Amino acid sequence: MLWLQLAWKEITNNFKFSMFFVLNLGIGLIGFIALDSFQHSIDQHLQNNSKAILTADVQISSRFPLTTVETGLAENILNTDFEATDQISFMSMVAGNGNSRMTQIMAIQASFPQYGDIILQQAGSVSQSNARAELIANNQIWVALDLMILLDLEIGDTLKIGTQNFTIADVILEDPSSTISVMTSFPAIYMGIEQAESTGLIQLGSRITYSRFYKLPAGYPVADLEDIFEEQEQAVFRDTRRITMTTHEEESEDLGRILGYMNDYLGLIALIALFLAGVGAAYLFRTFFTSRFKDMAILMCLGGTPTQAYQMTLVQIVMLGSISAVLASTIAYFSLPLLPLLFEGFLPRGFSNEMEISSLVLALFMGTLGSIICCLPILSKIYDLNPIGLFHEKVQPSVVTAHWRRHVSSYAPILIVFWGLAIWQSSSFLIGSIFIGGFLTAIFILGAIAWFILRACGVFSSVANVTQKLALRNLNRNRLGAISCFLAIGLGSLLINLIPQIQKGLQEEITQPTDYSMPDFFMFDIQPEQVDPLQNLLATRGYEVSFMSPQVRARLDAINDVVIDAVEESPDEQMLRRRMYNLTYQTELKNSETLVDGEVWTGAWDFSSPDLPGISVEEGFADRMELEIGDTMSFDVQSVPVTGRIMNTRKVDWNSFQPNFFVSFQPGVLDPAPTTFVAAIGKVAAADRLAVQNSIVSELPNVSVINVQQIVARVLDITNQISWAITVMAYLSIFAGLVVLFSIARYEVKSRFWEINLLKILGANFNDVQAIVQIEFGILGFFAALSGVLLSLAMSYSISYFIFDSLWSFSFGMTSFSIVAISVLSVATALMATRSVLKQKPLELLRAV
Amino acid sequence: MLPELDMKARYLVFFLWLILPLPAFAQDTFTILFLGDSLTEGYGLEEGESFPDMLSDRYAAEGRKNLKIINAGISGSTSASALTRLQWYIRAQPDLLVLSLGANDGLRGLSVDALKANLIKTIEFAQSMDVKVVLTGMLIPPNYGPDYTSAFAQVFPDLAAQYQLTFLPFLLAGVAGITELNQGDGIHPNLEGTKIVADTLYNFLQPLLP
Repeated sequence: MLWLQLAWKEITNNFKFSMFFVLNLGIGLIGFIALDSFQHSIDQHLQNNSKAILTADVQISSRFPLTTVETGLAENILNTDFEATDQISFMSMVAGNGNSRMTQIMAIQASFPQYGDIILQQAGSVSQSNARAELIANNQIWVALDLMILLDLEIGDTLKIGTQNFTIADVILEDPSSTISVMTSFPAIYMGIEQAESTGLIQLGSRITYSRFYKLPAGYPVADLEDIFEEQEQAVFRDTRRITMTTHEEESEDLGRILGYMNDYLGLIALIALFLAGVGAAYLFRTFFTSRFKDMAILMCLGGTPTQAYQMTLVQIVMLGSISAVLASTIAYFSLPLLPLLFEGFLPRGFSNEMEISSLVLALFMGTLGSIICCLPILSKIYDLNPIGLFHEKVQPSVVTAHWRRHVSSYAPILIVFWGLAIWQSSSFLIGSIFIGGFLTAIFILGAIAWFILRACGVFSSVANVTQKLALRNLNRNRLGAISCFLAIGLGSLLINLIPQIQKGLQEEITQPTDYSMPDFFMFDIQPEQVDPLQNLLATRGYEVSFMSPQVRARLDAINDVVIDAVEESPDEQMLRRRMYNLTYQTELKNSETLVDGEVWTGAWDFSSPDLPGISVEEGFADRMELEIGDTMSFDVQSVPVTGRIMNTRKVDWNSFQPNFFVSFQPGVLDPAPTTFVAAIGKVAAADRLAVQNSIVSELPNVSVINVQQIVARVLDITNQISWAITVMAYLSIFAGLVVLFSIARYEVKSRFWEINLLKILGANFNDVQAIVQIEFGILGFFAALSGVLLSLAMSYSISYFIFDSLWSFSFGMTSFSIVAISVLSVATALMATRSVLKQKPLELLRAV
Repeated sequence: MLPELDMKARYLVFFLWLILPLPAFAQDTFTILFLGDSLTEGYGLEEGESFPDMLSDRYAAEGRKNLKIINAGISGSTSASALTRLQWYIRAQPDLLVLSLGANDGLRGLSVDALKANLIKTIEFAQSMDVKVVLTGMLIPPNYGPDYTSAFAQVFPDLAAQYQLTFLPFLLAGVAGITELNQGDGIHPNLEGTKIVADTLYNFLQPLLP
């Protein structure tokens, strides 16, 4: 108790200084909490959006009724509490008012959908009305708006499905499952499962999809489920396996990939938030501790042991740390949920910023236990503290090299705790370990740079004027303190810059390029003789196809005259086993393609030319198949052998909303072969879409018209949100980092209080002192920022290489901005702090002694 | 000889083959062209396991070297592509056309009239080229509704009668709807199912072959 009282007294005695410390640490911790919980909120938000597309966490489906063995297998793998809902779906032709139309019958239970919502014309949101209960209790159906218009139906009308008559109870305006699959994009009719079974349409030979959807506890990891399920199903059913498991993350392949990146990105941000807060806190704690050496020396003079002296200060630090952490948590707890209100309209729909408990716990941990761990290395120094130091102007433990073992081992707890936290934050042993390894390397490199620069300061001081000389010599003399300041700023700027560097590459990958217009409809199976009629049909309505790509089916027979079977042992056997290809022919590269190597052909292939027709292969495909320019490829084009020579490799932008082909031929070779065309139309007015779709379907019935608008729009929406989140997180981490740097610089000047006052007493004027501070912090800030940023380039490049498939691009703007901002911030903060120190009377100096 | 010239020579042969009339050796050959969709192509099966491949192997084993089989199956193709594809293959001088298109028209709920019109154009073109036509009938799953399924199924026997074609009422007879004979998707025969289809066709085609 005595320690507590003493410590408390000490704190209140130095009330102003204590408050200053609490504020600085608090600001840093608020930054950490904001960054960490924002990261969690974004993750949660994206997960929910992705779940709304599947309407569940996990789905299993089969063409046959699900057996208890099959569902048991799935549920055993899930091995957690879940809610399940069943669904039966099939296609059926429905007639009304002299017209008939293929529809998708969706037979559901009252608990569908588990995520997302169906919006009805009359009842509105089905999750907030009893529409579902009524649907499954009666011979009622909900009908998609498209179908209502096509068949000229009204609510209350009767529709015959199979042998049963159903009453149309409502019209579907928004349907989460309409985005699920391209091939099921027929207008939907919803009914209860029992009702569907009574239609007589489900019988031997019927083509039915039986699904069960699972809702799992929040945060349940679904990443590996599909693979595990497939493996176990294979083991149980062998060749008769017939059900598939789909997780919401894998539902859309593109989205899955992007969500994967996002996951890693957010994990990285969590790590960076942790390390930023750690650097800030460690710096503050240590400086605080060092400033207390004098009190400790007094204590030891009065007969205290070094341990007692240490405890005394430690108790103070833990008290102050706790106050900061509680303060920061309270402020964050009340202010963070308000952020979305502040940025309404800027944030995606339905986004809420939830306070993450784990962030609070981490902040509290950092403020309390963190302080003990960070100060442990200083404890070891106390043993070297000599009370004689009391009579020095500045009390510093003497450096005794004999105790280096103790010093070094006192750093071990910091290392172990941060290593553990890194693994926890990134949820990966490997990533956490690599990160901490990289961080240690960075400390070492930064330390070395700092030492070298400070030595250089000593050398250059001889050729400088008085003010410069003083500043440079200060740096050189106070090398240990300056190095720790340099390290803090350098590590800060390293951490700050990692995220923006990675952000740019990711952003470029994810963002939909604006130079491609998103199509409204994709059309497949267009026959050669239908190309003109289709174009004419669209022209009369004022539209134009955005592309018309020929597609010729062929089998790859040989590469460089080596028959494929013979090379089947090569690296990517699976790739080679797939021998059927859709080839295309084109006169030039499309706007979604860029030439990588070789040259593009000019015009069509001439039969009289001595060369083989040209082939262009996609870059990645060429890599996998080990193809090079000049190689020949022989295809069996529907019984006719065709050989070409690779003339170029090209890069394809897979986000371009265009059909992309691995292999394309020079025109003039494949033209007479049986070809179908793929086309798209864009910029169709919303009101016109149904009419356009219908006219194509009725004039060219075999052409599949797929409304990509509703499918792509949904995925695009999430993609945009991710891209937004990536940017916001990058800015937020810069901001949080600058806050930490601000508190470091401010603190550093405060601790120079002695020196500054001394200079004043010795007659230095205001400007001289300012100039000295300016030079010192200018040098520290600039070089620390420069080295931190350079290190961040190297580190972000390797992170991209290992985690983000080498998506890295140099952001010159961000890099130069960081260097300038950090140097300016250091100098400006230092000057500001100097001003307040200068305002104090030199008398303080005497009092302090 | 340089490889380029070699390839050039091959192209010459290819184009001559396209342009020139029936080469003499072909007179001894009897070519069967299977024009179809995924069922013909052998969707989901290993290379060489489609029913045209099985038939080809069987004829070869019987030493009937004059029988040549072309598998012109393309997954997902509808009857709309039948005519252009037949026009491409006509250069290979088929003697017998086994026309097995229409399943995808049915599964996609396409108009029965359009299916009929597409098949008529194809049959008429084949007959004009003196190619004997075998038509295989198709049924679609009952869930598509009684009106549509019956109208669809009726197209094939009607055409067979109208054009006096050799008619196999259902290509997947004895296979469709039986879990053990189909792949996980419930519509494409597995290896066992394909063997049955091949058997059906072997017996059915036997009287038509030299």
